[in-house]
Amino acid sequence: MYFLLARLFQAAIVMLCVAFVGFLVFQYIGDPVLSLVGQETTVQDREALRESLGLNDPIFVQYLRYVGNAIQGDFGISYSFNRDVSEMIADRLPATVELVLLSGVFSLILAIPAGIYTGIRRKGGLAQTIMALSVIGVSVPSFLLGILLILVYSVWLNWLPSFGRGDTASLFTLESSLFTLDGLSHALMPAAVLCLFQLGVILRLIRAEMLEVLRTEYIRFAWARGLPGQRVYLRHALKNTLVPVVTAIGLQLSSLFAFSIITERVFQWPGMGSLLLHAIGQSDIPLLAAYLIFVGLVFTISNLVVDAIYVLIDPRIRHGAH
Amino acid sequence: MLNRTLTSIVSVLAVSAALAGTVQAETLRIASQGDATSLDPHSHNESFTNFFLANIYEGLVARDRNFEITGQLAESWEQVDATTWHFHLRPGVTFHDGSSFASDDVIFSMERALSEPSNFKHVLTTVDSFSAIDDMTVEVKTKSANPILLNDLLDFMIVDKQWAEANGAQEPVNLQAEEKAFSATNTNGTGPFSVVSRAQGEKTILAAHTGYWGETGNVTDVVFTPINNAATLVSALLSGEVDLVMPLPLQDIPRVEGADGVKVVSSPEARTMYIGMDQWRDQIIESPVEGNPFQDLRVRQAFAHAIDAQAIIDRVMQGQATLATQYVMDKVNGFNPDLTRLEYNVETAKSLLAEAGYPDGFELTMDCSTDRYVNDAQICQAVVSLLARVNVKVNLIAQPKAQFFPKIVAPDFGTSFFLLSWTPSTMDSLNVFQNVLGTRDLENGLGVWNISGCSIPEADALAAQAANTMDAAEREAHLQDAMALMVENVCLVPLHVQRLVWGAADNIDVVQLPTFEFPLEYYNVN
Repeated sequence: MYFLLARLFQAAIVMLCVAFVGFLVFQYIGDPVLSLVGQETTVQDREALRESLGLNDPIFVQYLRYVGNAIQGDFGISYSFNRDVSEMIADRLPATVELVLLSGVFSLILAIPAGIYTGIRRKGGLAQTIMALSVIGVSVPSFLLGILLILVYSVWLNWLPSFGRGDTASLFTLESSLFTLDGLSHALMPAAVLCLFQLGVILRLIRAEMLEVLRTEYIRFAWARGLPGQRVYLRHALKNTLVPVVTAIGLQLSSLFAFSIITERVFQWPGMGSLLLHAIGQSDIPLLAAYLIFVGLVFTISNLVVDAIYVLIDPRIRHGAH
Repeated sequence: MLNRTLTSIVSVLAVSAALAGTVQAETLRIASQGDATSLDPHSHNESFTNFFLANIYEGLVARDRNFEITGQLAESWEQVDATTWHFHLRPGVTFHDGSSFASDDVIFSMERALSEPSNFKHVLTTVDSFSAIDDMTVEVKTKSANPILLNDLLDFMIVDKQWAEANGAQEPVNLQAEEKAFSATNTNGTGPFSVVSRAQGEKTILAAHTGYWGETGNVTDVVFTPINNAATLVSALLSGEVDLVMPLPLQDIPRVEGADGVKVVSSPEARTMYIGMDQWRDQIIESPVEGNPFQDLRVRQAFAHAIDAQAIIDRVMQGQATLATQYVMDKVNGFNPDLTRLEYNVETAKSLLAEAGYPDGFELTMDCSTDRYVNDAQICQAVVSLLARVNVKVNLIAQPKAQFFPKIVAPDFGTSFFLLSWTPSTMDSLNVFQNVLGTRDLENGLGVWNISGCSIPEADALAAQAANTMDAAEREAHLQDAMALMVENVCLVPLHVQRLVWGAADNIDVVQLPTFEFPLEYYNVN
């Protein structure tokens, strides 16, 4: 309980800092007033709008006012959309979560077995092929891969839709496009692009950790005890590779939110990433600030979850802590 | 057995019902690089938003498919005296929700357009007062004689008074307001299409307004999707997922031309690109040169001679532009057909620079946007290398529009050399004189976009005269003379008039207007 409270307090500080850095940066993202008014607006009207939005106040005052409102749950109205920022984020969040979950699940399902396999049979032909492919996954930029997939599967083969999110359906009060065939066909390519990079990173990490652990004394001892291979690899070796792997996966999944910006743009996926790009283009400060705070929250929570999982995996941490 | 019989009877009935209906469902799927920012017609004065909403809301007057101003919700009008206009409203018009249209809606919408949070106050700046004479007649009094009142009113849209009041949308969305903005996401207009569903930035579905008063094409449903990424936009057209993309990136023209079932449609746009030169500072900024070379007419002429606009059209614009001789295109009222360009000639440019005291050229900084106009950054790069031939060394600052505009606009005008363009929203060159070419008078809202700060008092006088001249021919002559003076003095270096380039499926008939409007009521799916 104390642990959790301490962590929540840390999270709040992290988000305050993120928002403050955000407000420092906002001074350089351009003048939101200019993207709000038409070409015929007079200088006086522009100035009046700037004054009424509070943009003439010092950054620190703007920041404090923002935090004050945010604490009361008011994230302001988006300059460019004229809508409640929290409502807009609530609109867009499910799409991004969907994509992140789908690609996260894909990459874990593929990366864990492949990582173990390549760690054990590291000289085999299949393992070499997997490793070569994983290099491609890590090094090909996602926008390029996305455009290539669209060219092949949408333009040439006409199998999959090239853009947007499909129809949604609700299941257990959850509304998602993953519950319909149309929705899945829309999500497949963007999820594959997001997944490929994660897949490469996680697979290589598991392989490296496996190689490391397999060289240790206690594994040799396990072999000497005549334990069956399956038990040595999965119980003794894999379990001990998990601490760094879980950290990496936690960070990777939260960074999917960040990576999804480019993928969302390429596939016109209506998620948080496209919203952020729009907000930057329009200098939409309330939207940008809320996005930054939100991403800060995602990273803090996923770190919290990772820490909790450590305790479950590694008894040494549990006993060391208290 | 009975069940099967019933089913077949039902399906026969369904088929005959479909055959009996004269209107067949024709869906038009449009993708564009942007989305309307708001559905409130008085909230954001942004051209794409205005033209999108023009399919849903209507004004007193509008442009028809031939680009002539015709009555829309005003059936006819007459000028009672120099400053008084009577608009006779079209009878039998209904809003999408079925309520009928009358003069109180017009009065309400004018008040709404003038309210504090409105961004459309400019459409009524010349208007002194307005009132309803009866249910179907509106009187508008202007402050002084205004020959282009109808042009000014083109951007003015009419909303339903009762609907707006019932939903707390008496005023356009106020950014400081805490309450939710009903009118930003809901509509009730008289236009040919109504909004069925709207997910901003994702998908908007429109349906033909069944009670529409005017003639329309055969489009019954419109699915509108914004696709920001250019490559995805073109792919969606090529894979047959959308029927119309706007704009089509210039580099993809050959790809669309070479593909089956799709075509490129293009026509001149009212946007004239130009290069601006600081003529108001005594010392130009971001340059090591002493003083301001641009105050010497010969230097401005030298720049005009050195910049090969045809080469820019051929290489950078892939031929999708026409040479500009002046600061408006030929469909704009006040275009002067007698004007010509200073021809491209490096030697002339060099000798003019030498005469002006810069035989070895000089160095300066150019400001340029990278995401505002078609191939804007590439145009600037071409200008840089063209000027290098006359020994003028240009340091290019190319930035996204979010950084570019705050740097160069009023009141600081932080640039001495730049690329910019203008579309006169009224399609009348007076708008260009008031905003771009006329002597700066920021107090009175004049010359706000005269970033080069050129000032030709005789041209100002001619434009002021035109503003109050009711005789069309005389007025146009004043504007043409004023334009000739600006061109003679090389206030700006005109480059080109860009073209609107769209990609469409072969079976779609589109109408393009020079202002980028897309009046869907004229579109057809074959």
